[in-house]
This record gives sequence, structure tokens and C-alpha cells, in this order.
Amino acid sequence: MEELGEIVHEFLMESHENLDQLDRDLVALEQEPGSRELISRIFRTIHTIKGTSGFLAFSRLETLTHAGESLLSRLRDGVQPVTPETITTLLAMLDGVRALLATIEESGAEGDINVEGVIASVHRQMSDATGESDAAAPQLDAPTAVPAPESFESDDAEPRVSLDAPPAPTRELPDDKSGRRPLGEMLIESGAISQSDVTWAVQRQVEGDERKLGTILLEEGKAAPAAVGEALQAQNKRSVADSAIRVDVDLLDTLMNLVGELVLARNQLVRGVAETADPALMRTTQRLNLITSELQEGIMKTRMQPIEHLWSKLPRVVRDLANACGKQVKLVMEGKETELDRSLLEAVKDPLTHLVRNAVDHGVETAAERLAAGKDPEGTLTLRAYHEGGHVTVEVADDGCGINVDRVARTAVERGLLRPEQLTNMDPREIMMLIFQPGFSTAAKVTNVSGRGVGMDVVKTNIERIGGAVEVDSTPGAGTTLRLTIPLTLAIIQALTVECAGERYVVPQVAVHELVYIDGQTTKIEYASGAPVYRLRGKLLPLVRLDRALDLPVGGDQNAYVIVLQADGRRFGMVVDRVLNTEEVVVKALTARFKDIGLYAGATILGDGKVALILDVASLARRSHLAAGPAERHAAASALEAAAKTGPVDRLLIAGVGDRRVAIPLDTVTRLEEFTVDRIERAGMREVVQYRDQILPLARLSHLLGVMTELDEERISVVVYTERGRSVALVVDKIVDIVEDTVTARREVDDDGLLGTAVVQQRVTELLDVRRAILAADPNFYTELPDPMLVEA
Amino acid sequence: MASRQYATFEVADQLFGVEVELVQEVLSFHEYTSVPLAPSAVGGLFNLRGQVIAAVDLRVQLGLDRHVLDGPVMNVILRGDDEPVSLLVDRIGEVIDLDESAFEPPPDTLSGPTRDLVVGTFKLDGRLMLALDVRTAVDTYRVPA
Repeated sequence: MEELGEIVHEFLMESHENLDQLDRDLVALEQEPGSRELISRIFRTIHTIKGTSGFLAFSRLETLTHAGESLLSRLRDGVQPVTPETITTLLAMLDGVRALLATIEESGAEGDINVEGVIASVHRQMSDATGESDAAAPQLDAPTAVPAPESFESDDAEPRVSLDAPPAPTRELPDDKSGRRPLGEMLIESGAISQSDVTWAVQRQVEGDERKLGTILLEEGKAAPAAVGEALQAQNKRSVADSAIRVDVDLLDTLMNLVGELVLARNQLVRGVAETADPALMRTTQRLNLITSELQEGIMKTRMQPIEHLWSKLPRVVRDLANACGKQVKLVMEGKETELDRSLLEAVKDPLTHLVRNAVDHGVETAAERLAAGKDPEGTLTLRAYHEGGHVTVEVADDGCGINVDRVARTAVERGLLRPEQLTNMDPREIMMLIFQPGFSTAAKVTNVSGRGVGMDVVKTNIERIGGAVEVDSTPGAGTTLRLTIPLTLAIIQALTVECAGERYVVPQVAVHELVYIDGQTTKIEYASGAPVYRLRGKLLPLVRLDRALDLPVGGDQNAYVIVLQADGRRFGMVVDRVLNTEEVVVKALTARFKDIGLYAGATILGDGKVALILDVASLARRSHLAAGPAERHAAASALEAAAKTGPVDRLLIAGVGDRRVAIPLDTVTRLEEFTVDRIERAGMREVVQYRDQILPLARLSHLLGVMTELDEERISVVVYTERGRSVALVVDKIVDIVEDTVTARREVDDDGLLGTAVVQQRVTELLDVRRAILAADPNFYTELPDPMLVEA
Repeated sequence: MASRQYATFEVADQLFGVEVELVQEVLSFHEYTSVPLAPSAVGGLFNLRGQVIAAVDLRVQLGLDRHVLDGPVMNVILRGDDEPVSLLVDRIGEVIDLDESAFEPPPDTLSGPTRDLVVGTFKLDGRLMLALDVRTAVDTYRVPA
């Protein structure tokens, strides 16, 4: 039983790989209907799945693939032509296979997936074509052995096709797939020789002829040298699989971690040895240094996979979407073999698919529009991947209508992302980057106007999370190119170590553009209405003081360094006390308890063994309000100054209630909690939960603010307030963020339950009247004597 | 009568204990990396054989002044749910066998931050040991009432 489970597992894994290949091959076949090689390959793969599923007694799967195989054999034998409809049917058949495999993977059985519809449409394809191709059929060498469609579901599991048509039935066995395929079989499939020739040649070998099969066939004049050469080459190509093994990813991860440790130990050793100045030791260390680097590279290579793995699904995506939109799109892929760490491949998958969909959906115009613009009616979508300076660049380029910068700008203004006067300071590329702003993508109509937008902010967030960057480039009328820059691996990064207020911090090198030393004389920090700036080659560079951002003692403006960083679509300078060195560091995940701070991308262990925090440059930029335009920054700066005079800056908890953003002063918040809905009980008219031996009254902010929200959540997020031993909880839809910064603009509103509105993180946010909200939960909250029943001592 | 083993340590001269199977190891460490903007109960991060461990300052959790982290401080490293976490304490005590019968709930007069962290009291010869609620003790986002 156990063994069978393993076989099924193996079968699932292999079929999974095969299905992706099939998707690709079918789409390729549509482009190239005459390719015998493609049809044969597709046929073979389906045949293998069918054979194995029969062996493992998955009868539905077998019936389905059998139907597909029958249709394919007709295509292969030229009985009926390859048409887009056949391809659609075959793709639907593959989806059926996928669904069945998924059920098998989940439950071990085929379940009740209905494949009858797909089988029927496969048969319809065959019977539709029969009328037209009847005349052609008799001329073929291989008789059209496809039986009447009706008999398919009913009868035998005998592989009918193989009785009459090649390939040889030996392929039924599931265990021959790992080895080399017999040459004879390949020759028959390619149509170079007949079955009887092979049988004859094999007979000769059995009778003692010591020549190889290919040699016999050649020398007896049965096969053309070119055909045998080709088959031999194909056979050798296949046998590459023999030299590869499957390795558990966990094992690779462990090795990767160990190498990480080794790199660390090496760094420590190199540092230590440099102080001893012992030549013999130095030599050994250098050697160790070299070996470690090579080992690291080798281990990293084992985790590398060609980006083709990721791209393999895209031809199908493009085809289906183009058909759905009524467009013609050709997909070109360049640099398929470019390799990436597998964890990164996984992380890039969704963003890339999203960009491709976007390009087909909004980038490429319809055939009519293209013709009118004097372009080829068929649009071209180019995927390009290449290595560049320790990174992998992946481009998604279309030759569509391009991004209309004016429209993007107008939409951004309409959406309140920036003010019209800010546009004058922005170059077209900066404006185009606005499509990655969260606010830009929320409304559906924006997509129609700008052509792009839905979820672009998510693409950007996901890419930046893995230390990458997104860029956009577009020429109106000629197309758009989106460029993803992705690090080669996650585990080890090139980093710049800096010092600030006596502690060391690590900045990912990828974000660093240049370093400037501030001597206070020729180079100095200036202030524009309180906001620190630096004149970098004539242009003002906004500055962020790391010490201020981290709430550390603030140092002086002299003998400091400005690190010019690029993140979140903005260029800014980070002021630190010293720049120490660059080194490779091993990224360690930071414990979940620091996630809320949001400024750290992780931690690492430096050469001397001490822990250092890795800064998340993008969120540092966001926190510092750099994503906003210059005017906004001034406002922020003056508000900061004002706040500095009166006291500490506001720390706000941003919560989502329906589609509104509500800000709650963090200093009044005791805890954030989540409760399952079934913990909510009723006490009179009120909702309460039992919490830490107290009865905690709940108030739903959505009721208080009169917002419609979905109530079918299984869990609710609450903000708990405690004062003099009493607690209440305010129910919000979700906790969005905690901002530790200033409110840039306030306006009073006379809405119930609100103090006013403000712009926080460039979004309009409502300030909650906390006292009022608390009273809604517990009218007696502020009365002097707490009810002793409710509160434990 | 069932007995349990407790690893003991002192903070501000009070003896505390946690069940010994929750303790991964005990060691003294002197280099901590502070985490700006983290809750005040976070003492810092340190490198335990290549692993980055967060140290929670038990003094802060108990409403006392922070540990001064410029010299060696004792760590009680606990097996956390996902990852180890360390408690910074004043002094390490012995591992002791305790009889269930010596256990009592915390006294009613015990109040303040300590009350939240303690699940019970063990009567030893000459002194009391407070059994820590480990989960609460390492929760750096709880705000002492």
C-alpha cells in the first residue's frame, strides 16, 4: 500500500511537469500546425499518462486521456487538420486531466469530477472532422483506426490506438519512461521506417547480428542516414534525465543555511587573520576564502532553475486571454534559460503573470485598432530575461498603445494622490510610476481610463518584498516595457554596513546608488523650511536622518555620510554617521514580534559575530513621506517642526472600516486582538466577549460610522482600550498600518464619531473620536466607580 | 504525588521559576543589538550560534527599570512556539524538584504587573518561588496595566 502511494506520488509529480509542457506544446502546435515533432511529443506524453493511469486504475483519467489520444492520433496521421478549435478542445481535455490529478493528489481517488462533457466535445471534434477527411483517409499508410465515438466510454481498457497505429505497445509500461527510448520506436514515430522494418532488424539482432539497430537499418538501406542521426540525437538528449537526480528542497535549504554559516565563519576568520599577519595562515585563509566562495556558488546553483519554469504557463495564459479579449497576440520569449533561485521564482510568479495579463488586456490593442494605427494586426508581447550585475532582469514588453502620461497624471490628481501643481516638478517617468500607487488601482474605472492599474501596487509590493525593483518605460503608440529587477538569491545579499548612533545597520546594496561625505564646508546639508536636503549635482535630494527615523539621539550635520538610495520609485538620501564597509551578509528572518515596526527587512550576523538589523529602504522612504511630492514634504516637515515644539509626533493606528480609513491615536490603544466570531456573546443589547477574565464590551466602528461592511468574517479584529482596569474593544475590519509620523493636513468635519479628516500616507483618513467610540461600547466607561462585577481586582 | 522540575532565577531578589522542559539553555551574554522603535520590553538581539535571538527584559515586564546591557547579562533561553526567545534575568538559580502539593495560586495581595506574569506560588524552605506564565512573560506587546 505504502509503495503504491509512492508510485502515485511519483506519477502525480511527473504528470504535473508533463502537463505544463503539454500546455506549451499545444499552443506552439497552434502556431505551427504541421509540426510532426510537436504532435508526436504531445501524443507520447498523453499516452504515458494514459498508460500509467490505467496501471494505477484511475479509470476516468484513463478514459479521458484515451479520448484525447484518439483525437491526437488523427491529427498525427493527418486524418484531420489542426485547427484552433481542436487545440481548444485538447486544452480543455488537459484541464480535465489537471482537475482529476488535483483530486487524486488531495484524496487519493478520482472523486466525482465530471469529465463526460470534455470527452463528448473531444468526440464531437473527431466526428465533425470525419466528413471532410473521409476521402483523404484511405490514402494514408496507417489506417485510421479510430472507432466510432459512441463506443469509447463503454468498453475495454485495451489501448485501441496502439493496435493499429504506432507507437509500439511497449510504451504501456510505466517504468520505461525514465530510460532511453528504443531507437526503433523513435524512428517509427518520426515516420522514417515502418514497424515491420524494426521487427525485422530486431529479429536480426536476436539471431546474432551484433550490429546496433541503427546500423542494421542504415546498412540494409531501410532508413535514411539523416533520420537515424536525428533519432540518435534525440535519444541522447533524452538520456540527460539519467544523469540528474531529484533532491528534496528541504535538504537544499539546509545546505544553503550551512553555507551561510560558513560564509559567516570565513568573514570572521579573514578579519582575525588580517590582524595576526602570519603569512602561512594568510595563505590558508585565502584558500579557504576561495573554496567557500566556490562552494557557495555551487550550492546556490543547485537551487537555481531556469525562468522557463515560470514562463511555461504563460503561452496558455496569453492565448486564452487574447481569445477572450478578441485580440491577436504573439508571445515571444527571450532568455528562457536565465536562472533564478527557486524561492524567488515562486515569489515572482504571480506578479509576472499579472503583468502579462495586464499587457494583453490593456496594453495590446485590438486588431482593428492596430490596423488603424498602421501596425501589424497581431500584437507582440515579449518576455525577456537576462543577468545583469548580480541581478536578473525580467522584462514584459508589449507593442501596444503605451501609457498616456497625461491621463495618468489627471487620474492621479482626481484620485487625490497628488495636487496639480506638483505635476510641474515631475518628469514623465515619475508620473508613469504613479500607476504603482495603491490609490491608483482601487477604482475599476481607472483601469479603463489609464489602461493599467488593477493590482499594480501589489506587483510592486511583492517584488520589493524580495528585494527587487519595478520600473516602467513607455512610448505612446509604440508600447510599454515593465522591467523587474530581481536579486539572484534571497539568502545572501551584498550589503553596505553603516553606523548610526553607535549601532551598525545594514543597507542592501541594491538600493544604494552613491555615497556622499558631508564635510560641512564644500558639501553640506541644507534645510528647506525645516526639511533637510542636499544639492546633488544641482538637484535637491530629500534627506532622511536615520537616527531621527529610528527615534535615536540625533547627531550633527557634519562629518556625516549621505547614502543616495533608490526605493519606492523615489530617490532620497539617508544620513548616517559613518559608512563602514560592504560585505556579503546572510539574511536571517526577523522574529515576528518586530514585524509591526516595519522598518527592518531582517537581521544578519556581522563578521565580528554581532547581530545587525537590515533596513527596509522602501518602507523607510514611505515612513518618511518621501513618496509624496515636494510640496507635501514641506508640509510634513513644517508639521514635524511644529510637533517637535509642542511634543512628540502622533503615532496613529490606521484601521480599515468598510472602504474608509480611520486613524486612532496609538497612545490610547492598549492591545490589538483578534477574536473568532463564536466568542461574541450578548449581554442585553450589547455584544461582549470574555477576555482575560473580564467581560469586554464591543462596539462596531462600522455601526458608529454608518458604514456597510461584510459581517460574514470568521474572525474580527479589535482595538482594546484599557483605563483604570476597565477595557472596551472597538471592532474594525482590519488593521492597516501603524504610522509614527505627522498628520499633514487636517480638516474638521461634523460627522458623528469623527474628529476630522487628515491626509496620512497620502490618503484621506478619518480621525476617530475615541472618547465617543468608547462610550458607544460602554456608556459607563468614564464614570468614576467601575462596576465591581465587571472588573477583576 | 506528582513532582515537577523547575529552572529558577532571580529578578530583583524575587525567585521565579519556569518548568524545566520549556528551557532550552541558560547562558550569559554580553553583546546585544538594540532594536529601535521596538516595545520597551525588548532588551535586544543577540547571536546564539548563528541564530538571531530576541531577548525580553523580564525586569521591564515586571514594571522595573531596564537591564543595563553594557556587560554580561544572564539569559534564560526558552523554546518558543516558533523560535527560541530569551528572558533577561538578574541571577540564575538551581533546578529544583517541586511537589505539586507545594503549589498554591498567587496570593490575592499580589497585584501590579507581576500578577499578570505569575500562575502560582511554590513554598520552598525559607522563601517563595513564583511560577511564571511563560507565554505572557515573553509577550512584548502587552502593556503592564
